[in-house]
Amino acid sequence: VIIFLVMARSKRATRGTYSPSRQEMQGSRVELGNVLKPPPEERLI
Amino acid sequence: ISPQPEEGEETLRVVRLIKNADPIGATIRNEDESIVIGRIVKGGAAEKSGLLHEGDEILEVNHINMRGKNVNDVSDMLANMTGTLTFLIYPKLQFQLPPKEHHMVHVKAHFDYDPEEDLYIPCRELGISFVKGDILHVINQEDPNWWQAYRDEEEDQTLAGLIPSKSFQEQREVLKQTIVGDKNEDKKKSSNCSCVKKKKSKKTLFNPSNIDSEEIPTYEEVALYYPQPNRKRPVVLIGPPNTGRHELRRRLMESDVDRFAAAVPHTSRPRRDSEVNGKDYHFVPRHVFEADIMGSRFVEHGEYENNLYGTSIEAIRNVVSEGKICVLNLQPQSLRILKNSDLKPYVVFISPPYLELLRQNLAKNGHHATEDELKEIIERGREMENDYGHYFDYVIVNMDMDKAYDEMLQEINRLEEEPQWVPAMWLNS
Repeated sequence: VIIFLVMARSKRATRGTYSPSRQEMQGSRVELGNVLKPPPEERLI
Repeated sequence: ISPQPEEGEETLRVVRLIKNADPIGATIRNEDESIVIGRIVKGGAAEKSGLLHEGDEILEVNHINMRGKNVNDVSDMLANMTGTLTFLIYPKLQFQLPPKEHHMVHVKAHFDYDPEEDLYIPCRELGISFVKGDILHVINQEDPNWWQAYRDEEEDQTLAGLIPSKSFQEQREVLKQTIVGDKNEDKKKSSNCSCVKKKKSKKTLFNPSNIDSEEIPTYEEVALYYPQPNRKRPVVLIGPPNTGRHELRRRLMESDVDRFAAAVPHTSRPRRDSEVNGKDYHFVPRHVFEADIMGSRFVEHGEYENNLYGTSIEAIRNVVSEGKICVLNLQPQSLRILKNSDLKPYVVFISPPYLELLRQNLAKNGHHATEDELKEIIERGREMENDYGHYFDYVIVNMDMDKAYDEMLQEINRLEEEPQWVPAMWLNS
């Protein structure tokens, strides 16, 4: 499953053109993009 | 120690913390050239001091400039520092909110989690792994995606760990289903199982409100239930056929008739002369039986030679009120009804061992199973765990009948002595 997520992510990375109008029309898809994007790395101090 | 800010002046703050070999319990992230505090972790010096906050920028540590540094380097550097650390902080907020009081929530995990395999965990070194059935104590839900928690019996760990929040995990599960949906569909078609399965719509657009969140295995809130001597929890045995479930139940019932009892089933079959109503069966006319089915009074029911048979909630409750432990062999489909009742069942899954041992165990009882039969039993077991695993309190792999029996009895004894984690809704009602 992780592999699929990685695949989905890399697809997103290469094809990713920011298209706010498309996101607006699909509404919740915006949220999905947020979930998929790994957060900035945090390190423990 | 914070210098008094003057009106209109940019406020910097100096924070001194004593650090030992352990981390101070804060995470940092890079924001452009800055080192910014990502989160304050429960249990560490940073949290206890109350002087560091999410979003604060660390400008200096012990007069070493932090700007332009990478978080990995800063983390490594601080790991080797002990004693008094002097932080020069550029606070994010001019007005600090008072720290929120967090009330602890206890949850049971319904999925396995390994932070090492999670691309999305913000801070891998804080991730805690768990498996289905583990109890987690959630102490901070401020971040909607990542909760801070301790695993049960590891509360003495200094720092809390990170686990995906319920909503984050739900979103991820939905996403997985939409991506791998087609594959699963194919796989299920090829296996010839006779079970009735609720097919989820696989091609849903992402929208959690479309999906019944109870179907997505994440977390379930639990609470401690203390054994009550005059109200024993019914013990429910679940498992695929030919795993020794009936044998285990029979042994249990014969071991102590004053302690264990069966629920008296209902039937629409006419009473025979040798039979006693209310002892062998509750004999009821068919139309009464059917009305009771409609009224959801049965945990499960079925038809045999044109007569209806079933186990009612009331029959189980009668055993409980006699002060005995009701032992039930049920189909997993019955678990939902039972769980939503007031009976507080304790569900034990009897799992088949690996194929070769299953073959030998069956042969001991004169049952020479074919390869296909054995595979079917194991596959059914897997499906049950997959579909109903979140109802199970305990799993016994039946490698050996005597050992399985001892294990089960020990577990039942424990139920009468120790508090157990049960769905929180059982204690609220």
